[in-house]
Amino acid sequence: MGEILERILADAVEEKEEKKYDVLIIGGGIAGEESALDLAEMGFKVLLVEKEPSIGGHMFLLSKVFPTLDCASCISTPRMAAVAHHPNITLMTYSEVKEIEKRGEGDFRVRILKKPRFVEESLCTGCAQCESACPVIVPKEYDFGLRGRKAAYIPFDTAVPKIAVIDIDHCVFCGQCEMVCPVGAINFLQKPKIIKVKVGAIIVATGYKLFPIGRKKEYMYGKLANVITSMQMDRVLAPTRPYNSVLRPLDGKEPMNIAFVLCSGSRDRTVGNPLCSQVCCMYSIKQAQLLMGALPLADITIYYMDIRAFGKGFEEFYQQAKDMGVIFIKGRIAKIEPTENGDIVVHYEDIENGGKLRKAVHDLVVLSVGLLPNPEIAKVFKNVKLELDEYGWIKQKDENISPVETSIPGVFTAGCIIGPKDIPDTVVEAAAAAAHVAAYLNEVRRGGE
Amino acid sequence: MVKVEPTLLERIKKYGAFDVNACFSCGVCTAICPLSTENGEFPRRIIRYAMLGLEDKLLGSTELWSCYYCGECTKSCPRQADPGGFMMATRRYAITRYSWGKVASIFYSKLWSPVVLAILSAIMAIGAWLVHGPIITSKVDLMAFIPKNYIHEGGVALGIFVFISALVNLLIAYKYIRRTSNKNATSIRSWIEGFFNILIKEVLWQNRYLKCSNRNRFYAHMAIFWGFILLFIATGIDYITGVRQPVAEILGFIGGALIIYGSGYFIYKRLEGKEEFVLYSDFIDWAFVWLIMLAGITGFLLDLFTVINAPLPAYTTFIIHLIVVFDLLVTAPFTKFAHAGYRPFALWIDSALKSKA
Repeated sequence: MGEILERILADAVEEKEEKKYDVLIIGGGIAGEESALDLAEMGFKVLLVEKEPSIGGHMFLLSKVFPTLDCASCISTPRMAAVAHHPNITLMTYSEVKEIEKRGEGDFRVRILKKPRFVEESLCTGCAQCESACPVIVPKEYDFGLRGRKAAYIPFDTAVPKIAVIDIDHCVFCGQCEMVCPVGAINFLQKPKIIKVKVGAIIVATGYKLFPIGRKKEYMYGKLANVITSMQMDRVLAPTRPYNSVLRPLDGKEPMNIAFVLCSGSRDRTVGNPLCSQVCCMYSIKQAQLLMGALPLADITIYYMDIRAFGKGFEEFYQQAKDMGVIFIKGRIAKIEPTENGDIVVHYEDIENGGKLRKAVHDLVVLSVGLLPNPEIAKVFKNVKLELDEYGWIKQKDENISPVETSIPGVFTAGCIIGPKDIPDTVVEAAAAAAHVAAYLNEVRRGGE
Repeated sequence: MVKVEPTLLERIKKYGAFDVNACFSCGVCTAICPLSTENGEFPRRIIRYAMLGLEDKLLGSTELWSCYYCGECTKSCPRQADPGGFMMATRRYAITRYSWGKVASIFYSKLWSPVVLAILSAIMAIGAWLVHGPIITSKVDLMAFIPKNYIHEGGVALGIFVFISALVNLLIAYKYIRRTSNKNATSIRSWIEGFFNILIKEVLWQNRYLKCSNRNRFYAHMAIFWGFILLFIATGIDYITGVRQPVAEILGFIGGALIIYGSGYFIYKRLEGKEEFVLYSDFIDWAFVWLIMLAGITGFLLDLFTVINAPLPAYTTFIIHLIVVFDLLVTAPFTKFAHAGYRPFALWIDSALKSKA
């Protein structure tokens, strides 16, 4: 969030009216969507709050999912649309939960900050004429900087809701968008609002943050253009990809020798994340297989410590990659160096072949970055404490028998905020959290009669 | 056949490698090391030897002495298993194992090393007391205080003891290395070539030390090394000519200044305790740097008291100086000082033997 927007947000106006919902779901990723749909189908009134301008979370950004190689956006887009159109779900995007107070069982008072889009939501049709007219280009967050976007923009083609937003920090106030908007939806005077709601239960599903791999200095991320993150590679392989082909960022050359560096920012005490991120092995194998398809002549090497293929069909997926010709080398990359022509040298010890000291040259290096918790949400609880574990993930009431309950009765959780996990596990937890909410609300209401 | 010692790792851990159990064998330490080469990979391989209990392999690894402890591996270890500290601890362990009768282990015992050092000092003090001559208080006359022939003959006896001990220890080390090394002996020529190669590149000018990142540490180490050489030459000139030579005075002055500077640097770094190579020090490591410092300081004080003609302080300082130098030299083959032998020796063997194809 930029400085100017933050200053504007300081003058938020509080709305008098208090709205009521059965459930508040924080986070509009695949977990939040699943819980919302389940609860809505059961007849509960659901409020889904997402801090970004569109729901979809991380899953929407992925190319395919492992190990089935199904198209991620083809699965998630219908879900997003279903959430948006369900009569029992109210969607608040570009909004942040600021304060939660627990008055009693089944009684949570919540204050939500609705950030101004500077576009009237009721009027905007998503025609994107403002986007074409806007002269300002900045790096696009949803493509991790691989492509640009305008200051007046629609987050991505299938955004839900498909409403434009103006990035006020980069806006030059030229007024072009205002002139071309056919419905007069642009409103630079729009104010942020604080909306008060009363809910019976809460699901926290704020997911994860990607490890900021720039912190691992030896890997030169941010210094060398041809060292990219796995999330960037997933974007490059997605149907809605930048470049419309697999190219390396520095010079647009088609890479012929790609390396994956596993455990970048995971299982690493020097950067404060000793845990395994659980998904990196498999998504790297997935990307390697997709690259074998996209660039049939390219060599793909995966540098690993141990391949953790623990789910259904995962081991077969790993063996399939080997059969396809992906090279697996046991040895953690110690450091990365540039060469004159933009190629990258990686240093490692070849542990399975006599422990020999080796260096290899690749023309594109993908850092398979790990997952970090997104624990800021714990701060909004005022008179109750949402407990976190020692690494900042949400502490479950009991890891074995109540995996989606938190330290606060009535507050449930699902997905990667609990710990790193893949999509099927996340969806299972989301459904479990929905069932727990239903049971909790029924119990509270029976008790109140 | 390989012999497995189940308690090996626990034994090494007594010498400082407290966190090495965390190692998950990823190889980052080896790949980040500025000195590890295609024919001598460490530290991961050495850690594996220790974990598997392969004591013969471990003690037969010349790689132990290829490490100059710059600390890069410790900084980058994803498990914070402190591979640099492990290498240091393993060298301490090797020093105890290479020494004849495993005498060196008493110097690395927390209980015994201060006691033994105190006993050695007492022996020297009593010896000086027994042989001392008239105490002349009108002027400083050290050679009357302790007769010259005792100093010279005592010095020669000490020298022979140190030389023979060092030689025996080196032969034990050689036995370990030859028994387990995967390298083949080559011609006499390559032994001779290797000797001069190592002598010039790694002893007189410590090239590999320089490759370790910290330049100040290299200068300090060179200062101590050359300080000792100059002091040795000065002593030799005095001994051969039998009188105090001005040349020897000058060399001694420079040598003394160098060892005070060098040991001062290492004492400061150890007290500061920030950099990786000083994270853990045994009592005997502390004693080593302090003894070098004391030897330098008492040497200068001795000159000072002679010049200003203060006999009693001069005699006292002389006794302390003799005790310090005696402690330093008599323990040399069994303490940290022994690296001065093992390190070039291991490098020499490494350069003379060829890897089996």
